[in-house]
Amino acid sequence: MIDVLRREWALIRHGKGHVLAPAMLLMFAGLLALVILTGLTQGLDMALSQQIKAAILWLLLVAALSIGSDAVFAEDARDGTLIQAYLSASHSFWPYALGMLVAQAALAVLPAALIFVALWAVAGAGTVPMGTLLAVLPPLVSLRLLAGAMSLAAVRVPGLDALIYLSLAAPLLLLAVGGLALLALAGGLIFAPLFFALVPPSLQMSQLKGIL
Amino acid sequence: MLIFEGVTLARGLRVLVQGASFHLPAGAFWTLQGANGAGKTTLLQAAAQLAEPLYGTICRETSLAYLSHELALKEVLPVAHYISAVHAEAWELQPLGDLPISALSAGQKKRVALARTLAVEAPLWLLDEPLANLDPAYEALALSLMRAHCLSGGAVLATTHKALACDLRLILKSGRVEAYDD
Repeated sequence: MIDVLRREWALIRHGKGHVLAPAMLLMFAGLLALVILTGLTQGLDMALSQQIKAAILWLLLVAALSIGSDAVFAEDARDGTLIQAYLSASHSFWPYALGMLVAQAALAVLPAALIFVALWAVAGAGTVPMGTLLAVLPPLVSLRLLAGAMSLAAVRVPGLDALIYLSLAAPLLLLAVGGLALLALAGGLIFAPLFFALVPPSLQMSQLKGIL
Repeated sequence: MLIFEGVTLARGLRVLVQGASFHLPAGAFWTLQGANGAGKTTLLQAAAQLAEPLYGTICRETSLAYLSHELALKEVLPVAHYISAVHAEAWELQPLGDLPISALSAGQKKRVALARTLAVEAPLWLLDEPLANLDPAYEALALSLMRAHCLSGGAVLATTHKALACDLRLILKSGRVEAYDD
């Protein structure tokens, strides 16, 4: 696992890591600023816009984390690194998957999340949902890697070795499910009232009437 | 160390190996030969449990070191990232330690990959074209390491296009595995 971390750090230093592209993040940040500073405050009532800022930030972060997820393991598969990782741990992807999880969380997703936290503060979207966002990062990283593993297995389906890449998805799936379960316990209860506040049926109806 | 019983292997819809049966014992140095596309790599992958046989059983009783065709080296990382100083010395790679893999020739990359693979403490070595791109001096070094490994109780199965002195040559021809005792 330490080896994977060291390697990912070295790759990032050489500009070849599986990080989210800075340009893509800037594009998201620009989109976010546009939505929050202009669209919401112009077209909707202020109380509602205050409430849904957090949800929009959430959705944008999840969308940002999905960028390039299909390529996370692609190069490792192409150059044989994945096979070596699989063999060196006696046919188990656990050390590799854990290493990639920590590496992605620390070196790729956390910097991205910090950008969103800054935007969160600028938008004044509240500290409680921001806390839940940080709490949900580990399962989000797992889901990002899971998407990468499944993409890899999907493109390898014609060959029997797809079974190996699908086995990479198994530890990642367990990590994602475990992380989400923890989230439901720790952050879900905090976030639930906000969610229900966002979509009360009467508000939905009045918004629809306003649009029509 | 490695037992194949009636193993049939395919890549996609094409059957490459039919009904292969052999037993690689401890101390044996075997080579696997055949034309391009004959199924040498597929057989080696199956031995490493990287590919499932269509029929038959493969039994491997020990851990392994595996040299794949792709070498598993990242172009931007330095040589020193992959091998320790001791192994760098054995393969005369110390002067290249700080160079990125992308700066190396094909033969130098093969030396790095071999040095890393053969440093793994595993009784069974499965090596895909270990001598390709090596010059004669390093070819001799690789062969001497393989033989020393076998003498110490390990076993080696290596694909090659060269005629090497070994205990047994497996030749893949029209999907059949034929054994030749030198």
